[in-house]
Amino acid sequence: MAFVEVNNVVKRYGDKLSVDHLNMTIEAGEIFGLLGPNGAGKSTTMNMIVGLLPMDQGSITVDGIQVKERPIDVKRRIGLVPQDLALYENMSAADNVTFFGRLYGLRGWELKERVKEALRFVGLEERAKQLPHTFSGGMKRRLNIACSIVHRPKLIIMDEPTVGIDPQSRNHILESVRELNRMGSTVIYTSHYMEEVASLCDRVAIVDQGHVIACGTEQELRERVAGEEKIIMTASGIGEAVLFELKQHPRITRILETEHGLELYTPSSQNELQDILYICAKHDAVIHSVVCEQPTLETLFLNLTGRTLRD
Amino acid sequence: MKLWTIAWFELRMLTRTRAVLLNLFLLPMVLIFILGNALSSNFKGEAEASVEQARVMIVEPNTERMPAKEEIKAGLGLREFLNSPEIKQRMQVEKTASREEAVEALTRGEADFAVVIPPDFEERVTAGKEAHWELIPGKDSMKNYVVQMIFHAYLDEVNRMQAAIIALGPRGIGEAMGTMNGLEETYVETATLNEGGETYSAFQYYAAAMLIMFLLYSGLSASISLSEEKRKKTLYRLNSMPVSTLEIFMGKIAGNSLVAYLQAAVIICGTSWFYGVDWGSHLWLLILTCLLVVIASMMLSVIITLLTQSPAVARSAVVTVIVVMTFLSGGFQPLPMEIIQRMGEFTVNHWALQAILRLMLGADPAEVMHYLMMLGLFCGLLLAAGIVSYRKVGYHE
Repeated sequence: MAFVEVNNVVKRYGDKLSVDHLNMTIEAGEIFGLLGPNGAGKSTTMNMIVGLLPMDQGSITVDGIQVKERPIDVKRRIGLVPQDLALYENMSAADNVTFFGRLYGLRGWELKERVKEALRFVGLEERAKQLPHTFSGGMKRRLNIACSIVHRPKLIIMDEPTVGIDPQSRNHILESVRELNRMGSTVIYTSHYMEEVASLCDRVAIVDQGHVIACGTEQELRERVAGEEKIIMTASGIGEAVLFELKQHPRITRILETEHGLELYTPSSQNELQDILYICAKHDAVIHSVVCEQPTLETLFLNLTGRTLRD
Repeated sequence: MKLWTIAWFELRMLTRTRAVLLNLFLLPMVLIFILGNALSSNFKGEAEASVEQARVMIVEPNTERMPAKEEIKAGLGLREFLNSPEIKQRMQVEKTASREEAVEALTRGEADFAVVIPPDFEERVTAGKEAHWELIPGKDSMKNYVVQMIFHAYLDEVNRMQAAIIALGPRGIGEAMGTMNGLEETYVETATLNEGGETYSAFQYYAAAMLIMFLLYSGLSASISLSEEKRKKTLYRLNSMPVSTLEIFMGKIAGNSLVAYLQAAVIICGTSWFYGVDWGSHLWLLILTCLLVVIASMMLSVIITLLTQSPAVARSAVVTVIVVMTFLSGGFQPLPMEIIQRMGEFTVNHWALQAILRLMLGADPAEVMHYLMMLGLFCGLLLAAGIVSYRKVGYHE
């Protein structure tokens, strides 16, 4: 039996359908990625899993418990790491974690040990007595995680935990997620950052307009867009004539104009690169760099929706 | 249990900020000290208000023609009255020939008060007819008040004799004189009104008024706390935990209420020790009053906070309501206008203030209960409105 089961869930805000008959299953012990642009329904889905939002239709079970029927029991099993920092700035790091630990029912010696453990886990043990407003953005993010894992939850839900932080803290957080998973927690991880999700998650669900448009391992998803490589070209002087001729090329499937040049999609970049460079040179376009990329989740998303993840 | 975890955390958060501590505990003590000293003259019970001797110009008919004994028998006794030591202590009487001279002396500031006795006064009194003196006040209201009081006391006695003459005929003079001789020799008696606990001091008044006002402000802390939890997104995290929304909400209210009770204890003990404020002997009724005021305060803030969109609007609305209620109830200064006093009866402050003042004056608990019942009624209404608001709006992101 899956650890989290989302069955045919619907959520409406007035006339707007935010989650549209969404189905997904998450197995115990896996890191599951939710990928999708803003407004795709990721956060709404997560809020319904945690029991923060009532669903209009469908059902969600966590560890075999119906969220609708026993929300408090479900919440006991979950540690939610919110996208926004949810900390008390005038209380020390340890006091913050202790307070949330108490609300999860921890007491006495066990609470003290768990607070130490959580702070050690995110690398803030030395800063336990300091106030969060003296912390860097990355440290605050780590404390944000510590507050959510103090009770050793079976399911950790992380909503874009690496937004706006330095690479060092980002790496620390990603490594923490892997470590938490190794320790037995199931993780649901949402992000805009496709690379993050691809490198971290065992399985990924791509969500758009309230429903899952693709779901599987990274390899499985890549295979769906096999045969479409991306050529990123930085160039200047690309005029209408260049674009017209490239669009006429039979093996260039799609062209996107970017700030610094073009992105072209083709079944085989090596075969078509010669032609592309020739067309540009013929019309006096100056090429600064050319990069050929294998298909990615971004490519898949583009393929499925016609939009990029950051649209 | 989790409710108390939230309440305790709230209490810790509030009491660890120095500015909050100063506002909660030091500010009321300072305000009571300033108002108690600055506005003490507005309270009649204050012993330090002294009355200076007034210079009185008196225009009277020629009494030389009548010996003093005869004058007393005639029922007037004015000379004896003016020469009594207590009157001399309060008034320095100077005769003048005419009303015009007396008015001129008042205008020049050479006199504080003038009395004009009509020439036919004696005849009219002895004939049992209506008789008047003209009292002309000067520039000093306190001296005017004292002199008027003295002459009114004298005239009351004259009127009493006149009534006896009308009722009993000429022999009534003797009867009235007989009664008069048995009376106190003086018309003036110096006393302290506050003795015997019949009125309160400025310190008592402002200690009670400020206690109520600051307890009402504790609702403002609750309002800010409820809003801040939303603004800082910590409410989102709290909602994701195994705690019900009602527990979170009630925990925050309980935490702020605990701070309010702590504040009440500090104000009551502090003013008692440092300013000698007598809070009366019915401690439990005082505690009950504080309890009701805190409930009213919390509910008022909850209603405003839940029904307004922005925290800033909620804050302004709560402050405005508290200040207006304090003003209408006479919390800043006892109000003379009857219409404002009537409006004050629709405030929480009025009933709480009257209850506490009566406790201070040692009133019967049954009398105080009337005020507490009214306060309880206010609390009940606000509690009902608070519950309806919560059920309608809820407390979540």
